[in-house]
Amino acid sequence: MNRADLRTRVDNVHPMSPNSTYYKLSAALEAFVDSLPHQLEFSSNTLQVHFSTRSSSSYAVLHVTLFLARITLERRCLPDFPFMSPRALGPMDPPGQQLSPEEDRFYSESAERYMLASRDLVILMSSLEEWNSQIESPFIISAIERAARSGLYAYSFPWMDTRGFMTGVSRTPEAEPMGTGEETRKAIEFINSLKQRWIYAKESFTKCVEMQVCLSERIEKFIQQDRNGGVLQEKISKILPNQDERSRLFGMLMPPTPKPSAAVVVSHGRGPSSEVDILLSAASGATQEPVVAAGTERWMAVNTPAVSVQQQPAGPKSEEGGSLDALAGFAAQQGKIGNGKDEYGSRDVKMGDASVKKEEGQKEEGTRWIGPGISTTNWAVGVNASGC
Amino acid sequence: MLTLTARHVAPLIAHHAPALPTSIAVSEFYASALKYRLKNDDEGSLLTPALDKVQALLMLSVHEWGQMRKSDAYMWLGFAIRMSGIMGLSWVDADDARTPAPYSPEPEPEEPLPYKRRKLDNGNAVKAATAFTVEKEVRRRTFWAVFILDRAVSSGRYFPSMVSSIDANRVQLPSDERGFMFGADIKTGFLNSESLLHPERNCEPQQVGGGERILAHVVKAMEIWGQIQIWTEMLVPKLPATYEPR
Repeated sequence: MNRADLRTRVDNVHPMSPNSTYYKLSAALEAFVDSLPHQLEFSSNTLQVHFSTRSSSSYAVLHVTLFLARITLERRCLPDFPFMSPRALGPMDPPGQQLSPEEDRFYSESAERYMLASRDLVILMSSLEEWNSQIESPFIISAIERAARSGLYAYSFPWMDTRGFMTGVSRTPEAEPMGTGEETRKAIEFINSLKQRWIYAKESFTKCVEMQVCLSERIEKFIQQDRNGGVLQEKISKILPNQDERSRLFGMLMPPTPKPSAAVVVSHGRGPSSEVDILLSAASGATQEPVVAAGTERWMAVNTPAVSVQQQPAGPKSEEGGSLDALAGFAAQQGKIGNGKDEYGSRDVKMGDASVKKEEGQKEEGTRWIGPGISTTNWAVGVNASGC
Repeated sequence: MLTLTARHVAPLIAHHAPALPTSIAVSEFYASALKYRLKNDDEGSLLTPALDKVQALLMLSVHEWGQMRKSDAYMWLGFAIRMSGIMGLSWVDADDARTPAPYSPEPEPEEPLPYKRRKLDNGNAVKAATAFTVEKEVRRRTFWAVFILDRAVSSGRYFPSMVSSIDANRVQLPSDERGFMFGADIKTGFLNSESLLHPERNCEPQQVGGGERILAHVVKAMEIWGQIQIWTEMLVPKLPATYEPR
């Protein structure tokens, strides 16, 4: 199978089939992980050694890539909204027909691999942070975001995380949970901590908020409209042991109370990313912070410190004014080099990998990205129940 | 370098305040300077290939990606890919590869000498051999950086991958840091994409040379990730729910 093949093929074969691309890619990934020399296997001991030999960055990139690959693969075997499934039973909710024992086991193990990879990715990032050896790049942020999404999924549908990798609650009798339940919050906190250095992280955080809003709304709608909604509510309410952690997590991602009008961010000139603006503002001492239009507020979590918009006086010209002038002149001559906007328009807002398309600029209240007919409310999974 | 690193350097951020009030703005400023330099190079135009230009383009591409300008990132990466193609970076390990490297002293024609003999010839041959080895490894690493970013940024439909596995299979995998620093000529094996993606065929044993070779494994992991990314973005919305053996 070469790359051209992959582009033209769609995988309409059951993932258990050796003919499916899923199966082949999963086998390749597993064989590669198994072939790693023991110095490169993922374990806390190995990681400690790599810290001491200053090779932790490469080691971390290796395993982040492998975890990301596993998360992405297995996500395809899970439904977006498993309201009916009692546990992981494949990508349809509920499964169209009775699953064979082999299929049942296959999907259970797939979900476990999904949760396990997400947990391990967060553990790895936590260890790097403890040793003050964090690595940062858009690729790493995207991987952490995937892990965070896994956690939000697990917290919203905890019956899909049977062994408690991400929720910290095992649903297997007399079995200890395989995670602490804090992994998701840590992943969100990582992303949050990177926001001041990477716009990518800001966007990732926003996507997590949007995902959580969507999940909450869909669950609420299901409970309200479906005759089996009571069963779903009962399912959710059973997760008492981690109610605190869940409330904390969802509180982090709580969007502001919906306002009558959509948030409007007015920026200087052609946007904060325009090189011309940056160069000119650098030369003139003007601030780069976008100005928030009066009467509106920016989309952020409730726990985000409020940013006061300071009108900074025009400062003296920078010492490098001469070269800046040249740069600014060049940039002005060239026109806008990068407009901060993806030319390809629509943007994926994903529940894992199953996408719901969101058009840029589509910011209508209530139907932010979840499709028509679903109203925005303040209801969030577990939040009302805990009184938050 | 500052395009990527300035955001982490507090004194630099303080230096630019208040004109550039955030670390992102500081990095953005250096990115603008880099673009200016790329387009107004004293020695040539943006389209004149050079190894350092490829490296700069890669860093710029990462920055643009981090700024949520993926199409810009993809375009700059495209420049880097084309330049690496013109410079023959994927042929660096071919028997008829171009030599000598542009920034190195003339290499000795014979194979690099073993370590224990190096002190016996006044160091001249050793220096040349080491420079040659290092230069070759720099070229390899530049190619692999292009490859890794291509696999990371590319996805199914609108950002197709532009570095073929066939090209990548020709290049020796990057050596470990220690070997690189000492200029040791180490055989690390090749990507061998076919056997990596089809382990069941067992067509050729996976070889990464001796030792742990983390970077070589990172390259392989990125190849697998690239395939998975393409698969997931090209896929129909749902996999079949029930299994019908074929």
